[in-house]
Amino acid sequence: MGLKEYIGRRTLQGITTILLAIVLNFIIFRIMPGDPTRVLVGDPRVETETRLALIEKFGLERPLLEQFFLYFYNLFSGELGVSFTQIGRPVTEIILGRKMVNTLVLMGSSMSIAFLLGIVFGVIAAWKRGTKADISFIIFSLATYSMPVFWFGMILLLSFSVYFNVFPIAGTITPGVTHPNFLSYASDYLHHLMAPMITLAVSFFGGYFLFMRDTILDVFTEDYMLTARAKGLSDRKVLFKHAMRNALLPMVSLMGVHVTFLISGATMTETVFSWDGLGRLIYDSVRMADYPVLQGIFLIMSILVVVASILADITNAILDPRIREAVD
Amino acid sequence: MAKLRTFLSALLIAFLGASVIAPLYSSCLVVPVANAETDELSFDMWTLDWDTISVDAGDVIEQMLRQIGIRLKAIPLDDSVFYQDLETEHTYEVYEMSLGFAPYPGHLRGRLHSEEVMDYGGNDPGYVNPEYDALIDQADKELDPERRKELLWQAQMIIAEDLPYIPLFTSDDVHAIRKEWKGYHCMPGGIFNWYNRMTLIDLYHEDQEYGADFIMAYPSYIRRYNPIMGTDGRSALVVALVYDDLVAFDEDMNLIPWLATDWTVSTDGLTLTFNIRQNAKWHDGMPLTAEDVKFTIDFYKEQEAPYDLDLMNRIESIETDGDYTVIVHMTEPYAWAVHAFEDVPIMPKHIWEDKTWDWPVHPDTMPIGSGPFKWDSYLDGEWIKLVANPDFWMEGKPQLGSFTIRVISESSARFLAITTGEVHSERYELDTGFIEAADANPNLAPLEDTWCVGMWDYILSFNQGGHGTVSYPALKDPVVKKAIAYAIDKQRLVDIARLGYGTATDDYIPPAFFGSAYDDPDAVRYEYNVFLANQLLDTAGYLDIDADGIREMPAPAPDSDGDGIPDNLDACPNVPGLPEYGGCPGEVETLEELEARIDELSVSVSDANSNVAELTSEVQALQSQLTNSLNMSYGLAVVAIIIAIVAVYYAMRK
Repeated sequence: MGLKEYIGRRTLQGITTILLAIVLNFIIFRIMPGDPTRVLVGDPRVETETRLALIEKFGLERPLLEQFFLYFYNLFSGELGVSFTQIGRPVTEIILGRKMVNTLVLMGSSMSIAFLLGIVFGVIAAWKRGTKADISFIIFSLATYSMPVFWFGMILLLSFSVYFNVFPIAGTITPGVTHPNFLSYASDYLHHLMAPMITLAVSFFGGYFLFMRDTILDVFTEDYMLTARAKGLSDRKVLFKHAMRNALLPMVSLMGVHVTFLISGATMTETVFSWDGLGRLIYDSVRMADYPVLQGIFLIMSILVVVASILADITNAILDPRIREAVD
Repeated sequence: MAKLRTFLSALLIAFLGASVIAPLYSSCLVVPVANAETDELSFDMWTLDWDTISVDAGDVIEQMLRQIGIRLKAIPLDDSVFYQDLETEHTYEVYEMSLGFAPYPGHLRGRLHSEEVMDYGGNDPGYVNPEYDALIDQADKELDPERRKELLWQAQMIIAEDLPYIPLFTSDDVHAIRKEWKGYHCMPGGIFNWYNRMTLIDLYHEDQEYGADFIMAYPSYIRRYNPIMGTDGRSALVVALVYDDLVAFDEDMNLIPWLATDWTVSTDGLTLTFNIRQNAKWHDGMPLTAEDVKFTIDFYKEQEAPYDLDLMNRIESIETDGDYTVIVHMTEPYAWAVHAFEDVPIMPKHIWEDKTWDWPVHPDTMPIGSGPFKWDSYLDGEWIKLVANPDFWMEGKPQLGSFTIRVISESSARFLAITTGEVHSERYELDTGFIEAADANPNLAPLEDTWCVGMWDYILSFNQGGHGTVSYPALKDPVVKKAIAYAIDKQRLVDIARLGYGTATDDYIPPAFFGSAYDDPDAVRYEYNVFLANQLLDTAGYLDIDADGIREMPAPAPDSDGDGIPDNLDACPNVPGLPEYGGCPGEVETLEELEARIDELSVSVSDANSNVAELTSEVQALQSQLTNSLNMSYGLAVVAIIIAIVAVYYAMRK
């Protein structure tokens, strides 16, 4: 079985997973209690007839099976439906807009910072195992890993936005301002990005750091490390050429799994810093039982997870000769 | 591969099995087990878990009722479970939460009229009383305010005796607003309620009387740009800033002219004539005429927009008389017709002509109205900037230069932003948790200045069983509910749950909200009196027999005659005739007594009939639940089929 067939098989599995996800997405949100029309009623003057008319408009009174086939049919004609809470607005427009860009930027920047720092400090800590530096790194990362991210966010908000007043308190951009050029827009955006990005990077750092450190320590026990040293290679060469490259393989798989965060966002952080992203959209939609939006987001997420994990597997197969051989 | 196949087939069998078995157990899965037959005065009292006021007040009520030997166990519930029960299942025993007032007392119909005993209806307790229904129907048609008030007072008297729910208090609106802002108006519902139009046009900065920029924090972005559908509190304020209605409310909830300079209602109530302001313009410069008003009403009716139906269903037609007069023809007199026009934003004909009622407006265009502010710029999901409309018909108004809405999703971040001055106030009243901090902050206006009676009224509601799903005899007994009403110290609830910023309500139409005109001198009220409450229960035979601190139902067994009401008929077995034949003890019956008994019997026959009707509806409910769970299992079957296809595919490949 060659690499091509391996890829083909993984793709087929991926498609099955996505089909299953579509079905589950549909069922799960509907067996949850809650009624989408409830949240459309904020003014006590809204009458019962209004509720009933909206239930009929959304097709919620139809049998579940019929709703499912309609959804399935529409999906394959490329139609994700319209939002319940923002009546009439297409789901694709809501999801694939600014919210998605905001989330991608926030999660992408904070995850890559955390990832890079995690690798660098993980390698250093593993190399200096047992020293004061190693232990203080571990304590720091365990602390940041286990603290509630919204709490850390609130502390940052309180100190940097309220007491020192260096970061804005909310949003992705200063409200009501028209930016003369892209540069000023970008710097304004970055200014708003700082606080949530730091929060998330700190919270992600611990996990990557500990994972990297453990993997490197594992690699150190391998026979080829002994060989490398016996050959008289320099510490630096042993560490970066032999240990780190091998330890990166599990990190790639981990990254493949974590790619979902890019889309799912971080609801807590996005809420604390009023960052208008998909994490908050998911949260709001769950609260308001906005089925079409939820189905849309989760469909995109499941596709992304599947694609990312396939890519990670293929990358691993290319990077790791053992897998390639096993496949062959 | 083999392992994968085994796994897949196991999965397939599991799913197929589940899809066969699930319907069999659906009744256990779906139907909540109602413990209708309790012989103690012990009930579950649901509170709303995210609403700290509801939860705190619930805990305090539970404590208070221990003094009279009644246990209402406060159970905070998630709103999806809570509301689902109120809307389609109707099995709750007691709940305590807020429902909310409209600016005129239409809630007496919405909450307790028997027409609302239905799925998704407003009559949660399932209260049915034909006498009450008749009074409400009459009041809705009564054009004379004084006579209407009398009718409503009579209706209030009835429910104060029957007590389907006990009004507790309103959680009042105290706002965090920076102290340099002046000119806001306090009216029932709060300084920034959507029908508080005077605040929006009179607000100003103390150093800059005209043209100041006001920034308001919102917990989330507005959901709907379309004025017809802007019925949630967030969108409604923006709709009120951008659009005008024919009439508005003043600080005392009286109608005042808005787009209409004046109006007349014919004596038979079938014709309403509005004179429209001649100097009103749309934001794009077009003049606003009677034609636009006619268009708006026609638009609602022709498109069958499912909003404001109480009004729209009663409008037969609308015609214009010249450019600035509209005449509305009604099908029947409607007491709240003019009030209801406060909720109908007038829309520009030249923009909406070729649209449908559910047109999302955004992102095709920005909303165009005739109101004090017009749309300037926005960023979807983050902020909206509205600027003062220089052509607004009211001379010299609005005083603000711009009104910006900014989304800050987290409540403490919103409060912090107000304290730093980054925003100036927020859309909603202060959470109870921030009241002390706001009180101590010298940069904010004193809370006393922003304290208005709130629109959210907390009530204690008892399931009366009118939906036919459950029957709780003790909760139908007015004596039990009167004892509960006497045993609750409402002011203490306000002090604990809302730190004093609330108003205890004794009436069903509280004059504190609807105006002192509704203060009924003869209203039945229950002053806090634990002694009286205990006495009532003792006299009615609710005694704590097993000394566990909770009273038992009166002996003999409650409701032995099965008429659904525990009363003195239960005292003897429901068998006619002489005691020696197992009948009621007492004197030998005279002819009159026999006749009376025959009457009684025919009553119980009709009761039995109604019981049959109840059972039938119960069976129907069960059937629909069964259909639902069958549907659900079809969903599972679809999963199974997909897996089967995959499994077969793998099997074929080998």
